[in-house]
Amino acid sequence: MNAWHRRLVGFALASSACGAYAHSPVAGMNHFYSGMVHPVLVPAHVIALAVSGLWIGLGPGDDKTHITLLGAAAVGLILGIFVTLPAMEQFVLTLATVMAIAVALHWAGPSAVRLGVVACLGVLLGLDSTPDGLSGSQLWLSLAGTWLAIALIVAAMILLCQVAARPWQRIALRVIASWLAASALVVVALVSFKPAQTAAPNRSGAVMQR
Amino acid sequence: MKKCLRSMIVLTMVLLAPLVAIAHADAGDTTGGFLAGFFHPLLGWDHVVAMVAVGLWGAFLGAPAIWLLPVVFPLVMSIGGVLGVAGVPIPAVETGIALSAIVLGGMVAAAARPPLWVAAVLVGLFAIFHGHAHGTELPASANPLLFSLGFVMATGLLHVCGIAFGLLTRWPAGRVAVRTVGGSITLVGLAFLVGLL
Repeated sequence: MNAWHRRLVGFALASSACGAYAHSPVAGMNHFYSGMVHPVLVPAHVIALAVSGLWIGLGPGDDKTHITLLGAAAVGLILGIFVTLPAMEQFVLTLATVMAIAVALHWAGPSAVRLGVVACLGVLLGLDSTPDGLSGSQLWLSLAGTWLAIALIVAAMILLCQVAARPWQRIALRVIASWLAASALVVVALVSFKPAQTAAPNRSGAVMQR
Repeated sequence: MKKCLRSMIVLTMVLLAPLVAIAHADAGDTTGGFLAGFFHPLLGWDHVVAMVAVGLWGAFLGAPAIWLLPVVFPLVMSIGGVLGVAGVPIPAVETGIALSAIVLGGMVAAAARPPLWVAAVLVGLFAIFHGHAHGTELPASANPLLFSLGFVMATGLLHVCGIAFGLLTRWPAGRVAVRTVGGSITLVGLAFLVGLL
């Protein structure tokens, strides 16, 4: 098959795309996908995960920090079944701000501090992600999906840091971290000083006034 | 050339192949908040010229200023935003924004090369005014985090535009062009200061 034939085949494959359906063909697996989508739909969580991935990826390169984050997220998700704490998103954003500033300033920090911060973030993310109104296998599927999404997002950011090997690419990542820090800081201030103006989705997806 | 043409034809056909393209942005909280924030700095020429001037000056000063100034500006701008959200009054915010265009444009026009800490302090000082303006105008109806992300990203991208243009300084004619743009930014800032714009 020559190059032209390969291109034609590629075109045919690209043209064959029709609707992309997000519903699982396996009965009962919808809650797994709903759980997977949850971290992506909450901007504060996306920022926190992106920043934590950058901090881990641009850091000294130890696996303990990554594993600690994932372990803490699992603990937080399970704890969230029994515990409901208010204003989780504000704490998540605050920690994300601190980590983003650390990335922007190229500060890795002592190992104990790194582990402590990511552990706190992981637990908070888990606590803020546990869905309401589910029980039994539906709940556990949703939690598994959320944990997997957290793991994938962080892994993607760490991979991005490894791919960005040139100095200007690393600087670009630090600049992006400074943007994330700036965004998060303003919102933390807004939530602190004007809580009535902020509307945040509760864990079942409905919008409620803080 | 033949290979390139064939590749272009194939690429064009592949791009036209998708059956459904939904181009309307969701007018709800998500994209609405982000887009509103993104366009907020872009709809004020006083903001735009000052942000571009930061990028120009950073490119003019070279490393590490070329990336340090675009890091300092958003971070200090967020502090200004915090002050704005908290209702802490800062006198003459619009005057400060106009002055930022005048001073930063003037620095580029004059090819000023102060010590790095002076440049960072100057940029940070003006960033507070810009951040305060964005913070007080943070609308209650939009998703505040996405709005905030939008205006920070727009600010950063304006810096990148300035840096990209500022890279022309490696050539003598480019230096003239960059300094001319700096002078133009100063004039625009003056126009805002006296109320012409």
